[in-house]
Amino acid sequence: MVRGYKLNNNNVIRIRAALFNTSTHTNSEPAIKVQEEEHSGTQQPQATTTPKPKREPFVKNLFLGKFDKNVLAFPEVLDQERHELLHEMVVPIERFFNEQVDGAKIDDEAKIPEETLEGLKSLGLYGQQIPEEYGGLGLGATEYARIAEITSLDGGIAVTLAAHQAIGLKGIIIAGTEAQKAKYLPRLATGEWTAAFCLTEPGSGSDAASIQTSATLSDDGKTWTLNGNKIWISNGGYADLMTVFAKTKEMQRDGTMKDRVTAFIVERNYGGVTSGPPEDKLGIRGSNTCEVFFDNVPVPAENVIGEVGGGFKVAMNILNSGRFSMGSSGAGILKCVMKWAIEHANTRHQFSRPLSDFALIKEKFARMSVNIYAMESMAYLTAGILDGTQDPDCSVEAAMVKVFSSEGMWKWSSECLQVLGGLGYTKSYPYERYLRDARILLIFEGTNEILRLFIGLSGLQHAGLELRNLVKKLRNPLMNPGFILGKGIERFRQSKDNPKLDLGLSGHLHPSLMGGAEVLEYCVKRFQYAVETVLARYGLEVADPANQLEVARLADCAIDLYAMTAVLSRASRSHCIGIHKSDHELQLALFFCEEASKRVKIAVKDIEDGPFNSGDNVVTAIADEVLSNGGYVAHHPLTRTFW
Amino acid sequence: MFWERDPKGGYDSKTKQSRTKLVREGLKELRTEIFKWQQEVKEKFEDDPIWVMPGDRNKVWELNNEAALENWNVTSDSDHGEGFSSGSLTISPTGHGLFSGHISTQVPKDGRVKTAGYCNLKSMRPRKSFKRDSYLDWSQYTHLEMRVRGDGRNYLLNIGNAGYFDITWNDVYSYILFTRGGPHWQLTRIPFSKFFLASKGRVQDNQVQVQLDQVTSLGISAGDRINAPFRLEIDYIGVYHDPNHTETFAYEMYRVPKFMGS
Amino acid sequence: MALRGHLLLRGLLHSTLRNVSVIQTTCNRTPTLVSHVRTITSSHTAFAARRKNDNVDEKTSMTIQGFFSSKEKNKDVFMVACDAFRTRGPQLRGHVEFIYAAMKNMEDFGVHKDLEVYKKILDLMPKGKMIPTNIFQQEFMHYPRQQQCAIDCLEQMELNGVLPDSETEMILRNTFGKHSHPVSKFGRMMYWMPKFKNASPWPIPASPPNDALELAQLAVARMCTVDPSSSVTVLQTNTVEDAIDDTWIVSGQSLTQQKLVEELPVDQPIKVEGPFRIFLRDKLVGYFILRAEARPPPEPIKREVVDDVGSLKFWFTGEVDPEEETNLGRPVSVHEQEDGIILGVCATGTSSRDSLLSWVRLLETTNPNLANIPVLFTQASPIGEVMAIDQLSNKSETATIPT
Repeated sequence: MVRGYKLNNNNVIRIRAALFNTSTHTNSEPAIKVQEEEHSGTQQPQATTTPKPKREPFVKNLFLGKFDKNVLAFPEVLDQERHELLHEMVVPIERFFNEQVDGAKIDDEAKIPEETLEGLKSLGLYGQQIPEEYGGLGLGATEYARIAEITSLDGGIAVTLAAHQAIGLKGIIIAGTEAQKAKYLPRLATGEWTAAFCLTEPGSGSDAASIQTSATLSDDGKTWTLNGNKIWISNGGYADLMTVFAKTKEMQRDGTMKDRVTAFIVERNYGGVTSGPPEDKLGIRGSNTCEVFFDNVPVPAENVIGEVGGGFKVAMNILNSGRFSMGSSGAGILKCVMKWAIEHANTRHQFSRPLSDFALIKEKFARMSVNIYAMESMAYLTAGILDGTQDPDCSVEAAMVKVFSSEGMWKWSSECLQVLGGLGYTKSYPYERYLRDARILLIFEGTNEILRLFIGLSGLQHAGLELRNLVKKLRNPLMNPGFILGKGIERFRQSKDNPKLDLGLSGHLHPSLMGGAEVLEYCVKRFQYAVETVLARYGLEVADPANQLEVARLADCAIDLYAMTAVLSRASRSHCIGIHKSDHELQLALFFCEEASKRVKIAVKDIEDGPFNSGDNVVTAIADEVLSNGGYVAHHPLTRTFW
Repeated sequence: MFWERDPKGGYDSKTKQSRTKLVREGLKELRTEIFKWQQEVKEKFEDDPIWVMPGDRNKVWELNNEAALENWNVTSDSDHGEGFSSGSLTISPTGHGLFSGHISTQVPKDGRVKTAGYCNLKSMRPRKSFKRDSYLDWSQYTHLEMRVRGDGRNYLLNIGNAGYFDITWNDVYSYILFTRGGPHWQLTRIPFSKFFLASKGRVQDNQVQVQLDQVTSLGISAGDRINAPFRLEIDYIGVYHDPNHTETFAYEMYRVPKFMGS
Repeated sequence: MALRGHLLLRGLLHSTLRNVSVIQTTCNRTPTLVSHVRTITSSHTAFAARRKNDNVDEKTSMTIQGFFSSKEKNKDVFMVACDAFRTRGPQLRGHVEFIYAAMKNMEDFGVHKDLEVYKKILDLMPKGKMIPTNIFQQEFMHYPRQQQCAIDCLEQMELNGVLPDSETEMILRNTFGKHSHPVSKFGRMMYWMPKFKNASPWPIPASPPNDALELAQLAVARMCTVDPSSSVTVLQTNTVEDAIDDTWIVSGQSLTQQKLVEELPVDQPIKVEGPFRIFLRDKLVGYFILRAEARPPPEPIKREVVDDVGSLKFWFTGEVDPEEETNLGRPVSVHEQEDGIILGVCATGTSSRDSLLSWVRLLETTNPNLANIPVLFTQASPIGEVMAIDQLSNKSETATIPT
């Protein structure tokens, strides 16, 4: 029905467009896409403050089989002004990195020259995410990810910048008081002071809660005294400000003292802070990494970040907020390296043909493209969710981006080196440097093993809340016959590998991606089944160290699912709005979905089969034997027992 | 207004020929038509359909001699006084079909015409014996393949899908042929999923994919609003089957309020 | 049954669409010639525009023509003219005529591809007044002349390839309401135009450069996309001794073409042909090619050889002589066509014979065999239509073809 339109004072009707495209997909219908107004598909958000939508965490809900279809609309969070501003920012930074950064020299001397650091400071790269009122660039997650694509061209510089702002001073931005922000952020934004993040100790790397550095409060309650030492601290040699995590004693309600972790802002000029010599590393040699010793360092009480005893949470928030940019930085490097490798493949002739004629070489580039596409999509989807929703919970998504990208970078920079053959192995070409720099990605910011467990267990924890009743019933089948019957039909279909696909995802994607949508639905359903199986099989013991293989399998499936969602969403948007070569993107997306679904299928089958049939028990048995033997167990093949 | 009276939309030549002359000309062609009909009957009894395998290409029109050019019709806006463009189809020095001419964007001052400048090359409707209208059946193929050498200008490819009912008489599925220009031949494959529905030059709101078993004609139009000569050399136009191409239709449909959009 | 219903619906809509096109052609007959003194009311039907034209050029008071009759024609003057129109009164009388006049004059002012200008003139329509308030107004095109004017403005945007944005949508919605024809047309433009904007496999920047050298570089790069191992270089004729012209040469050649030059027989001449036409959007570039006579294609492998699996030979263990004909054979490159072997492409600043001679000399540095082969300069060529040199004379200027 046509209604009259209310006119306000100025005779103008204000039309509110949603900031994040929630208005476009109101209901879900298969076969045709639904959109409220055809032309508001421009999805240009208002610069005014329309409230951001609040969403549930996407991946954690995947463990329950709940798929939030809003994610299938790839986020466009930057309005025209910010987009152009970002482009203007990117051009001089790219030029700086191409012309004035000599990566080979930095790697050789294991030092970043002063003028390069000055150049970075003058470009504002030291204060990317610091709000503008404190002198920083005030960039959101998406813009930060875009710039990370360029700064990663040199590994040492990337790590220096990341250690300074992604973790070093992030604590102040996230959990600091106004006084702390006003005191420290301006100097940190200009680069006058450099920051570092001090958590790891010789005795506690992955196990962050077991740190031994201690802080004791003075009697007047105004100063903390810090004692201890930290290792592997990036920028540790010259950082002026450090976010240090130390153990403080807290009085519990029942009178006992318990050790809690607290975060402190420590300035080098408080005295008592010394740094060891820089470590000689395999890669990212330009970044300064060293031990930092704290010897009775007096820290004023107002320098505590957050609450006393709440340091662990601060540490986790800091680490979770910086991880997603590894996807875009990985994509940035790989695109660069791939371009050089393709140029070589097109021009180098062997057997009177260019290398690019040979299918084995073609396969490398094809799979590399698909991998880069997935990395980029995941990174920017996560950044979009972070920028576009209120109170986003993207810890699991960010961890997934990190795991996927770090492994992708390691593998594909190695393959690019392979394309060049002997030339790639020499120091006269940069490929070996990129390969060495890529190795650290699997280790720092949470090792990939820990992150897989984090992904798996976070998801299981979230799923467990809803499934607690389900699992109790599943584990006691004879006591719950009715439920088991109902569930049994669903399980029967799953056991035949034929789950009912009722999510309706193809209505939210371009029709050409329908194949991918069906594959994704199938994987989501199988994954849900796998989660229920694992919870039912282990119960609370799922967090036990001995049962990690299945949790890691769940994490791998979840990573593939998230990557599939990201690539489908991005390809659909590209094809709808007519981005150049969107047909190629469709091809990449569909291929990735096929490959990922094969992996998911195998993983779910292994989980379904259980540790006996999937070989997990055998693996554990072999490992136990080898470990107790202190080495390789089998005797040498030349051993003889008789003549 | 409620139905199409004229398949040519009012652009007919309006010259009438005498009936006796028509009958005499018809009798001349009787022999060839009977021969054609005999061939069709023989083919029907042989019943040897073409199996299209992945990667197969079928050259539907190969423009390499004067006889092949008989199948094509060149029209332009100057034919009915609606413009000043001109075009022709000849054999080029290398022995391939050459569609060339001049597009003029000058608008004739008769108050009716708003924009001008097009030149069209259209294939004749395939006919069975005794001048019965027939269709081309391309349902087994996924791409339209052309080997052309253009001059960097963009041409519009039009697949005519006229059916029995008058609503469909002006159904044309179009897509743009981008030419690289330059001395090299260009092999372009355009998937049929990319052709969008237009009627009398207006893109329709409710889009469907082209019905490949009812293709009546293929047309190439030069009309990119650049006032300059154009030149398109065509080696062959054919159809191709690509098994990797899974897309059925590239234009997604949105649900809009009932009274919006046709 | 369903099919017939579908077809009938199409027929109805078909006819309404035809109606729309009829409206367009008739309305446009009289845009600028109706006097501004006549007031525009909404009671007229779509065919009101068929009134007899007045010749208003004789009226000396500030006519619509006067707004656009300044000697200096650029964007600022155009915007000032639009602002000046607003000073005639808050009711914006005669805005339809003004908008049609503005649309007609846009090209003279050089702003026909500028979105900001289109938004400005669409903004001249009064807001809120023309939005339908009941079902009858919605059903029958409310304020048809104004809606048609907005549709024509959007049509001109479409013809000029200007993509509207969300602000345009706001203007139209505030003027005509959510479900009006201009807003529908806007919706259609936003659906179709982005899909085709980047559809070309050889994209050209949205505003192509006017400079001849940059255009030539774009053109040669476009032609060289055929072979991924090509490289485009800009050379100067003044590096060649005895060169008369002093101009730039943009040369495109690939490694494959260099190899083909190496293998050319020394006794057969090769030809420099041109200039041929290539268009980059609406700009014309003349290019020349270096062509050798075509080689006969290699013999196809006989069927018995292909079927015999017993004679499988690995090509990297030296079992096979490179000249021997095997399954691999010598691949025929894309440059070896039936009408000749294309050995290189270039565009020069003056397109004169002397600059082409300099080009050939400069090519000899990367193709040493070229010095031994006689090179002819021909007028006619089987490859394409050779342009007359006078058609190229405006190449050194803006090289825009007037439309």
